[in-house]
Amino acid sequence: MLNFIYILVTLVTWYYAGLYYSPVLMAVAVSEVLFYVVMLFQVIYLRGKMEAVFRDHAVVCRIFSDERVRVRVSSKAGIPVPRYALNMRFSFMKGANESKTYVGGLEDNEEREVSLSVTPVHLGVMTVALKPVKVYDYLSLFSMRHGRKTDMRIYVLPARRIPEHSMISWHEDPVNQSESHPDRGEEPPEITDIREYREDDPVRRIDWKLRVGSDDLYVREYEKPSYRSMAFYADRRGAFPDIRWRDAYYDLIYTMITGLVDEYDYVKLSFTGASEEIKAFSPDDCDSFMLALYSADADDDAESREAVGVPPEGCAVFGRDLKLMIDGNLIRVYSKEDMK
Amino acid sequence: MENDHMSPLVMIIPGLAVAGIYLFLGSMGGVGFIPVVSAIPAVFAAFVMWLLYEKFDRIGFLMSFCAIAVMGAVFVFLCRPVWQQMVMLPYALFINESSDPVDVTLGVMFLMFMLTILVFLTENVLHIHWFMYMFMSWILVVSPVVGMNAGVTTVFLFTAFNMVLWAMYGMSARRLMPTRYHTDERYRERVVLKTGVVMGIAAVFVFSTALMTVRLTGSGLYNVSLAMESGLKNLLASFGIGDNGISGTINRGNVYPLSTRALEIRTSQQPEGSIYLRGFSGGDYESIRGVWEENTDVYIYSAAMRRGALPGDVSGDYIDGIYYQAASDRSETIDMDVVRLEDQSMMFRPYLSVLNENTGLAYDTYSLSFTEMRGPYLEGSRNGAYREFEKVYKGLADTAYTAVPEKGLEGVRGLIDAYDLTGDEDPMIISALIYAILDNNAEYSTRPGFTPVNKDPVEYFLTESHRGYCQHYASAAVLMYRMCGVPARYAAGYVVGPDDFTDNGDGTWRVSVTGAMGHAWPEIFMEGYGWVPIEVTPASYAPDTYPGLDASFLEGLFANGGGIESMKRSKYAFTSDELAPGFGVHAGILLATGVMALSLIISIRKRRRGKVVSKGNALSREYAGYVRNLHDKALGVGYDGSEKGFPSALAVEMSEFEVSDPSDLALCTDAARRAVLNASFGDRDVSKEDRERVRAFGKKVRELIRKSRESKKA
Repeated sequence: MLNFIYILVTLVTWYYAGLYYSPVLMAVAVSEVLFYVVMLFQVIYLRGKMEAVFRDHAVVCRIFSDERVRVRVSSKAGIPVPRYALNMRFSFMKGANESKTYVGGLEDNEEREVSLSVTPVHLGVMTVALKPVKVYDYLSLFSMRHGRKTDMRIYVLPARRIPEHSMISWHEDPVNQSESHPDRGEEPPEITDIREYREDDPVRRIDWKLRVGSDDLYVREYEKPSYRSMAFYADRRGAFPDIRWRDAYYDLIYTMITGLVDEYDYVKLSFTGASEEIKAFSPDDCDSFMLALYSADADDDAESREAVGVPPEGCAVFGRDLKLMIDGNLIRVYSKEDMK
Repeated sequence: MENDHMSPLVMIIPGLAVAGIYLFLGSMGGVGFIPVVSAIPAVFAAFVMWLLYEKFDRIGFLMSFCAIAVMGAVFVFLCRPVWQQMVMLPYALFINESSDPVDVTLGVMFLMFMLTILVFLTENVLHIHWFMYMFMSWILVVSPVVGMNAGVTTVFLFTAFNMVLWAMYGMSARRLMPTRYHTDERYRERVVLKTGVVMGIAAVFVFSTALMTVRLTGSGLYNVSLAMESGLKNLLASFGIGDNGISGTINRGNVYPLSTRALEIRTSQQPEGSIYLRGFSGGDYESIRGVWEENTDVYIYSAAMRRGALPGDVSGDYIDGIYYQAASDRSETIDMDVVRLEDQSMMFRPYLSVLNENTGLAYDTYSLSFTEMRGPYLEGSRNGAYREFEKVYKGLADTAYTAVPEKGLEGVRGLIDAYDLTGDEDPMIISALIYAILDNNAEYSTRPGFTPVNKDPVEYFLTESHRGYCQHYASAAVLMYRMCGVPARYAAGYVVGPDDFTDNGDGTWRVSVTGAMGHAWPEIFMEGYGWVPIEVTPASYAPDTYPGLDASFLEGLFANGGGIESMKRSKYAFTSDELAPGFGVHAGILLATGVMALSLIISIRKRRRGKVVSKGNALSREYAGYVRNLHDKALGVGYDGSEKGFPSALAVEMSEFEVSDPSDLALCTDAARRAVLNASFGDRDVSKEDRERVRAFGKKVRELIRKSRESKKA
């Protein structure tokens, strides 16, 4: 539109100059023509000097948090870049896309980090596609893109909240009875050794009494592991009807496993297609599990998920139909409305 | 609310605008003011506004602005010469045509003062950029329409202002540089200002190139716009839109005759010469508007009747008919049937014609008889009666058809007054004089360009544009005839040449009269001949179009200027210089300015870089001094301060002196090392933080040395 207006203004000026035989107006008209050509070359020049890439390949955030997508924009041009546009497309899944454009300017020979705020409203992996940077000339008559399309991922985790124990409504450990922790009141297992704290040791095994008299931390070694545990399996087979369904699926899983982690000593977490199970001792471990689950969902397709076996026996299985099963017994059927 | 900090550089934009308008006023002929002095209030106003904006908050600024406005109003009210000159300014700009400009220095001073405040307010405070953009564009577009010839520098400033403004803010500031995405306003301001400076320099180069291009190409560029207009007119004509009518209004623009048919004529034989089909003959002339009113023969007729000088056997269109009827006595008569194809109220008739019959008041079709005349013809039986009437008519026509407007034609009158005429010259001598004046001062062109709305088209034709076609030539000739005391009328209609006729094969001839045959010519009243058409348009000139006059006599007369020696002047001729007056000089000045501006910016950048290097060197020296101090105290030996491992090695080495936090020492040292590296090899300026980092390192060094001393003592 601006281009059209400019050409129209030039033609009118030229026409006017001719009708009134006005040399100065004719000079204005010729200037406008020359500027048009200059702007075309200018945008070609600036285009070759501009580059824009994501600063991070991936970031992790919580749902509804204010996250910033950071892009490094650089110009090697000897003149300022008055206007460039970064067009980003935020995709959660098919049918749930959003585009945002950042418009800015750069000084000559400058690299600058710009950020665009985004508030994720869905769970899972949000893909942000950055189109090649669009550069404008000084009069914004022309624009050209340069570079290649790049992607980054935003892993959107559910919000942390106080776990609800009733999500999985039984307290008897159906598996690993031999490893289960004795009920309160029974004799604790015998301590075989006390050693210095190592980074991977669970915090609960720190001997705080010894810590009082020393600057170092010590942990207790028991006779045999006697943790009370639970196994949880996220069944990834099937497809989500819509984005809200997927949100509910992720949110329910997260709520269940954080509740289990709080209730049990640890929880063995796994999902369809996982190479190994994750032992979750804390909510942070649950976050790691969710990230692994998101990655798996984002990377493979439905066909490959179907090919990867069935859930193992003896664990709580939560499927994409929002049904919780244990040993083939239906425990509870959730709905989208159960998402917090 | 606090005002944003405003860089003095933002005054570039309003400065360009005000300077452009100032020069524009100066280039107007009717306005006179003392240069430089009258610009001082503008500079003062800009400084005051900037100072107020910087010192006060928004409310304070607006209150100050209101106070200035009130003071200005009171000042104008009390100072009578100021408001008198303000009132005189439009008169001086648009009306005063005299060579004596009106002195409006005080008015211009006040106008510049107010204009500066207004531009400052709209541009820098309210950020309403479109206002000034449209205003400047409006001045550029309107100035030629009202005959204001803005100078090259003025137009350059206007163009530069518009281009720089477009580049800096675009048609919408929000669209181009959306502040909602920018948290760093100062950064945004820097980019915008730098863009403006680059664009301004580009404007200098581009405009000077354009000036040279206009000079080199001559009329070629103008022909492009004429071709555009022609194409537009033809396009409109294809849709039946276009005025092909014959009237007394002088066209103020270019002429593009349409090929649409106006009349269909059938004659009993092929005419020997061109037939002038007159449809309109003018009376009084209205200057500036350039309109010929209908002739006043009806009043002459009434006056003649009152005197009893009207022959009783003449009827119908009597006034002109006297001559045709006299001619009808002659034997060589051509019969003509005319069919009018366009919706016009005029009847187009050849000279010396008699209306045989017509089909109605609208004259859709009519039949005529006319005779081609080559000599005096009032020799028939009715000679006596017509001679008598002719004397009466001539006496009245000498008054009615010699009237010339008093104003608006001073230039034309000056051309006549240049010759010492006694007023008794023969009309043929006057004809030769007028022909020579036209030949010397004008060039035939159907594309003379537009006449400014406030100028008379004849005056503009002979004194400024020097280009015109039949309407201009005829009107100019009529007015000059009248100025010389010869009764003359403006006539308009069609001219059909003998070759335009085609043989029907049945002894009759036919011609389709189109808009392209439209023409205008003067006619003068000559005793014994009546109203005689005179052809003065060079493109149509032919000796045989002077009915009743000897062609060889006329040619001889025109060749020697009718015996008036001073008529022999060099013919007016256009050169490319007139299309681009002094452009070479202006282009050179602009180009030189651009080169100087560019050199200045390059040198500033170089100096700035030099300063950066210098600052970087100073920082390196300071850092090196601290490292040397360490070495002097036998600390950090083996390291020169630039190694990557220097900070951690220093921290380990110094741990023996009970440094409170070795990691802090390492971090501090590393930060200083990085700051020095950046100052020496980085691509940005030495920042305040860089200096602080190095000084923090220096502080640590002093602490280390002190502890080392204490440790040795212990």
